[in-house]
Amino acid sequence: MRKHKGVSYAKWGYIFIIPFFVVYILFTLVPQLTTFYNAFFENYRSGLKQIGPNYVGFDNFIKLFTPDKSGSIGMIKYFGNTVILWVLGAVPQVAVALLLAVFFTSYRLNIKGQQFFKTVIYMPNLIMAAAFSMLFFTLFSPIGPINQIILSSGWADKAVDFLGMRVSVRLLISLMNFLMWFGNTTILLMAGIQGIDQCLFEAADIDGANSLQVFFRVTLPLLAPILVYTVITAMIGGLQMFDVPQVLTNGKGTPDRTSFTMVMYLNNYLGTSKNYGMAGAISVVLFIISASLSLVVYKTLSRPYKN
Amino acid sequence: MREVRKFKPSTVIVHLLLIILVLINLFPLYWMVTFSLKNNDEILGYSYVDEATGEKVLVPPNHVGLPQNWEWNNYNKAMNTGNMGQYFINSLAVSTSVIAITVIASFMATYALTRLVWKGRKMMNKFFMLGLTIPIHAAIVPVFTILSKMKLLNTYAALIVPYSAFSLSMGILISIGFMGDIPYDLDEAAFLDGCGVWKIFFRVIAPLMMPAIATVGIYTFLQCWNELLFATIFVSSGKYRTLPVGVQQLFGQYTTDWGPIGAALTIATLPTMIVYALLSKRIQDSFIAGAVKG
Repeated sequence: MRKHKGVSYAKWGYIFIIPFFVVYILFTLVPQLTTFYNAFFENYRSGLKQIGPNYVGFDNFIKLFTPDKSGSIGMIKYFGNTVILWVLGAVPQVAVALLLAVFFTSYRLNIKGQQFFKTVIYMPNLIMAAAFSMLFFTLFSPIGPINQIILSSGWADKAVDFLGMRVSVRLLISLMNFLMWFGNTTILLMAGIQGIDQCLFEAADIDGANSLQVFFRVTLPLLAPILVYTVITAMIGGLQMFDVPQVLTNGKGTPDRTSFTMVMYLNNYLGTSKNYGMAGAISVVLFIISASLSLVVYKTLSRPYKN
Repeated sequence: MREVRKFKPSTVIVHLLLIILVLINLFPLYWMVTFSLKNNDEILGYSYVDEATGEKVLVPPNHVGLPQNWEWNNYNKAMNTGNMGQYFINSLAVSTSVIAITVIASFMATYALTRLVWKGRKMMNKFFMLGLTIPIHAAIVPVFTILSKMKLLNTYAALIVPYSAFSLSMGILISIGFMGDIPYDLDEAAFLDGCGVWKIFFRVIAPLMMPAIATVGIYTFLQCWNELLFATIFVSSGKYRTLPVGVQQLFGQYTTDWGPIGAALTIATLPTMIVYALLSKRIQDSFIAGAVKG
């Protein structure tokens, strides 16, 4: 092959990539690595005095998992809260999304106005989470419309303090997460169902399978990889739950920190007490959990391509 | 084909379920827009003494109905005393910069990754994709330290730079799909006509990537318009504060005056709603392409 004069693709390749490579390395990759490094130093502000950074080994991690005066371990408690909040929202999210995806793709039901329904159920996903939770705060406040309805219909003789009770705060947070994400999951699963070979549905139909049989014998098994992917990415998202509980409870995780999540804990160390060592240790824990979840995603996704 | 009856019971039930879901989704928004236009008396209810009978009359709150007097002044209050106007401009400045940077950067990087041949590009591709799986919260402390060393905290750049860096992976992932659809013949034709790499990119590839601009742009816009944690931690001065933080601070600010809260929330959510109304199909597609968060 004749050598082209003056055009070196390699050179241009480097020129095109270098600026972004630098930004990416500096603000995404290096931080990931130094998070681990930071976690081994004490580094915080005590009054006006800056303590550290001094190397303290695993002290930050030990402190993270040491019980406080009341005997509960902060990290474990907030991890538990995060998991509870996530499960309460994600179970109905996936169940409803699966149901809707099947409805929307079913030619037997032949749903009218599909595009409209899809547009509306997807919408809460785009609303600013902070605004959405502020909105729910006003909706469910003692003088808000929901309490007004309860009072005027005589179900209760005084206003229900939705934002002061553990159960209702957790349910509200999960409800918001559910509303914000089920539309997204529906559209994903729809794409998955549409990707299944239509001949299989026709064959099942000719063989006389009813809708339930088609769902359990054809749709669900073939949808499994996408379903697993959806659930695990939702887990990674749920692990980072922050905006909704933060705004709904004004950063306090009321009542008694029962709706306090791990990222709120991180935010507390970073924003209020400027304790970078402890914040780093929490980051590392977060990183390890989500990295292992990502690994599972990668494994499940790469499996079908092997054969 | 089986004959389809006009009203199958299952179809009716499914439609009813969907309509209920739609109502649940729409009511909060309806309530937000209407209470942003009501005064306190309407939102909370009030009582007055009837002069003829001398009895106290209770007027219940008007939660569900339309406003009786349209109180546009709430928007003035939110904009001026609540500072929402300033936060809106800040959010807009940050979002547009991030969109511009991410679109240009991810197109150029994608071009280099998919069309140019150089050592280590496979490796680089994996590198960028690694960024997709990493949660941004796990990296927040070092990013904070780097920003403070560069004296960038409390500037627009404190948000623009990290947002762009974290959007890059997704931008590249979406762009790879779009760029793959452009036939290589065009590059070759342009090359034979005497274009260099630079010219091929700007004259041939970039114009054909217009549809990708919308997808990457929308995705990036929604991510940074709504982001709260970085915005709370990297910016503490009110001068550069963005809308989500402003919304959070409504807490306790107007415990006595509800209308402006509604107005502030409407201001914060309206732009995304408008974008969505215009481009809903494309937004749904872009989120399928980038179905990582959830």
